[in-house]
Amino acid sequence: MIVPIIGAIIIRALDEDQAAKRHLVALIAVSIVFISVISMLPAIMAGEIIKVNLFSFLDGLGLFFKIDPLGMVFGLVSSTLWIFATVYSIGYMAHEHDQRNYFVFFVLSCSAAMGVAFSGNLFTLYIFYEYLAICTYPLVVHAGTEESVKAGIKYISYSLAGGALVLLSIFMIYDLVGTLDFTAGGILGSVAVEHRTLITVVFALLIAGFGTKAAIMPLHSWLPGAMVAPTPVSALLHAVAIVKAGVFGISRVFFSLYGVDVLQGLNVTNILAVIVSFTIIVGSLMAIKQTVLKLRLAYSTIGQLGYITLGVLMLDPTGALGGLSHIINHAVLKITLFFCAGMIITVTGKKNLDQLRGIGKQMPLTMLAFAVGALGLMGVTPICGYISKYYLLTGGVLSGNPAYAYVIITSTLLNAIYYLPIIVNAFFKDGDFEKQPGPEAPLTMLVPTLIMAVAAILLGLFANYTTIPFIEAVLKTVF
Amino acid sequence: MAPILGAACTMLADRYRPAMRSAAILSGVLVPLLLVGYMFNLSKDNTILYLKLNVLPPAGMEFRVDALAMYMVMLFAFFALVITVYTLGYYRDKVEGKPFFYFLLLAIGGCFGVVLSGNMFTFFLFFEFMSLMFFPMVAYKSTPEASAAGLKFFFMTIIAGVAMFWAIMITYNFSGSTSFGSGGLFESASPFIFSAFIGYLIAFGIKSAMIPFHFWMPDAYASAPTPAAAISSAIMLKTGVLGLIRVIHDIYGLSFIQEAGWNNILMVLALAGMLYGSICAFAQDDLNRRLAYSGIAQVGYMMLGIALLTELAFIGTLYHVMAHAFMKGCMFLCAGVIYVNTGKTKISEMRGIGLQMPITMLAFTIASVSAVGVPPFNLFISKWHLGLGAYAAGMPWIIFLLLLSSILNASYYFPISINAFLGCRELKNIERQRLRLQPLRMIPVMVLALGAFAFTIMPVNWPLNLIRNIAQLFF
Repeated sequence: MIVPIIGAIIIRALDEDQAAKRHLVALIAVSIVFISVISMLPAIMAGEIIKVNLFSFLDGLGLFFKIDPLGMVFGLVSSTLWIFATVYSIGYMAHEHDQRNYFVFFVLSCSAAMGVAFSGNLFTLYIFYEYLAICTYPLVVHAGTEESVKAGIKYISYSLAGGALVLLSIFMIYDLVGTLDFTAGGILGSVAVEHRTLITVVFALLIAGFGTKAAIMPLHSWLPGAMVAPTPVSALLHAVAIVKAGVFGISRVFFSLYGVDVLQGLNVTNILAVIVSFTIIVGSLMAIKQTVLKLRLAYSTIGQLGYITLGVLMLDPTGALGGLSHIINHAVLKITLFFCAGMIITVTGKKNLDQLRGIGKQMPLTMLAFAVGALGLMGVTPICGYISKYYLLTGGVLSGNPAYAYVIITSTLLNAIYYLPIIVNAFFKDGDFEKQPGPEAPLTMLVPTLIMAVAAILLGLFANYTTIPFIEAVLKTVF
Repeated sequence: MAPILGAACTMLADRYRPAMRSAAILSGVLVPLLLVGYMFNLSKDNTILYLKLNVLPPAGMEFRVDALAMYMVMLFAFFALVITVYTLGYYRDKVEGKPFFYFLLLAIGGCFGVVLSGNMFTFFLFFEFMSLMFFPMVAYKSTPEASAAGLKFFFMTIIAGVAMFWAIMITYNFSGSTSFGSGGLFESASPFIFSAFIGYLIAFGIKSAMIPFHFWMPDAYASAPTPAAAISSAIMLKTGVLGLIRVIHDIYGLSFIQEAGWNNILMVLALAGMLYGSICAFAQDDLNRRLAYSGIAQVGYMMLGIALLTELAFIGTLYHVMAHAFMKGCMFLCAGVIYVNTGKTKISEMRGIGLQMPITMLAFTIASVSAVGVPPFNLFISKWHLGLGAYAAGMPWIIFLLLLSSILNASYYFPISINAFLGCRELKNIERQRLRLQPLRMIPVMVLALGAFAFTIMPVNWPLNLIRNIAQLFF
């Protein structure tokens, strides 16, 4: 209904040349996306499902949009954060080359993310998934150095390979049941008994396909590489849009293709749980090893994404509540951290952790926001991360798999090991930073960061009114 | 109730007006004291004030003032005021003291929140907040040792947080509530519920420096500015004690714990702490460190009183909370005065210091006599009750350990005072001169020293009566 309009607006943004107008158009475009998404929210919360059939090639195969609560989670998170990231980009890119190119693809990938969120069948999801990968490729290689080109190639080949696996499974599913539509409760229930092995294989293919984006080990190595991108891109794509698209794809597979009952019968989640737990722990361990701030954040993302997958594969309403709410919470927290890293780079040019001693003297607000983000990921109340952690732990214990809970506890302690020294060093070690007159960073960057940090606390305090009913609406359709 | 936090926070807003600063800081701690007085009047007849806000899922934010909370909050408000006045003196002319007050007040606000909270979740929220605000105070001096100690404390805070988070999660899921005041939420023991108990034990043990979790404390106290050490030992440490009381009496319930016998774990740790802390205190030459280790021993007393599960021992613990705050607060403030005026932190350098600052050292001596538990002083009463409680619990041998620990106390405190006043013949004239001392620093010291015996020599020991009432409610 509204989605096509978004596309049109974005094409308008394409023709834009002048700097000031470009920013304005980019902002307007993402704001309209946001407004249209939020305008659909009450209807979705009331239980309606909006369907838009764009066109179809064959029976059940075609561009088909369906806006359900699960898609709404991803759509709302992405579109909200896109606005902040756009404002931030304006500040960050002020001294960079080739801004037009940057903003074109930045806004384009917004439409791709929306497409992913609201696609109504696996085929549409696949198309937008690839579209997202292609749109973001120019953003990753924006610096134009040899290193970034190499990272870009790695990025695109992982994405396309993952996509290919999804495509393969599309064939197989279509062959099996003749439809690809996402239906709450799954579409594969009817064939689960007779084609048990086959749908297990398909499951593996789909998880591998989406797992590439979700950075499940051993398919994660594109993510740290892609950190050569400009920071807003890292923030948005690697904290919110792309990796979450992978996680979102996995949730779709779980909840809309297979359905909880089928998966319980298949008994595949245990193997996956082991892989994901491994990802969480090893990702955190590798984060400790990193000496570059952005890389540390990237590895931390790998671990945190594991939380979401873990929550979903518990196949337990409480665990899923934790996992899905972590989509929101992690997005807000991690984008704050990346924004801080970006400001540090813009203002001081420092990337390595050991150069950041005493930076709290020069950029107190930035580092305060950083502390909020980091503590939030550790689950300190009332910053929003604790909510997902609480429900994940509960889900683990109640679903009879306390091992999940132990993984999360361990990873929290590992989080502490790699985040706390940054905060302590920033404020309580002497370095070559002095208090500067004026604002500590360009306001277009500082303000979104602080808003995000405050939002993280508010989302934690008032989760009763925001995150939790929202996610519960999703779960009602699934369990 | 909530205005108490508000008061601490609004003064933060005022901080930008330099002239108003001192007044704002003072009002930040005075207002709570007045509010507490008001609340005391309200809750005289054991009514329970109660407030529930539907934020902070899953359990919601709850505040609740029962007699125990009332008692604790009165103590906290009083000591917050005394120590803040002292800190004004400590950082009198220094610009560097400026941010210290923010954290000080925020941490105090967190402490009030902890005491007034009505369920474990709210408790957890303020507990973490308070600890996080204490961390900058530890690392405040920005020396390598200070930031290392700060980092250590920070880690311990997070570990405590995770342990408590786990415990609360189990509690809420297995009993459906984390609210205080029902006298026990669980019916039967299970491994998960036991793991929750261990979680609480770790969390509160870390905060109150109980024995296997004590190692952050000496470092933190030695490198933090003295007001931070004082606030921590007079107030924050007590939140850990309060937490354990809440866990045993409100979350698990007395009969449950008795049946399961889990209090024995606590008892062993408490006794170990009592002796270990005292023995380690001997070996320290740094005054703050010695006080820190002695604090570990004192926490052992309080935990012992909780673990014995008898009414008399419970009275002993609560009285000890107050007595220890007076005593240890006074000692830390003295240590701070010595440091600010002479720059000395080592005990071996303090020979003859009593001639330079007689009042300070007199206060210190009073506090250390009190620490040993000589009759007219506070600690006698708490040790007396602890001993009686141990006897009532059928464990008279604990009385011997109490006595042994007292002797150890005497043997590491008295030499400090003795050396300060005597044994200074070889000192040069310059060092014999009396120093002029700041009244802002000295008044709190004297108030606390007075408090070390004031209540016991009065005809009616009203804190003790108050505590007796509380204990009756709990047993």
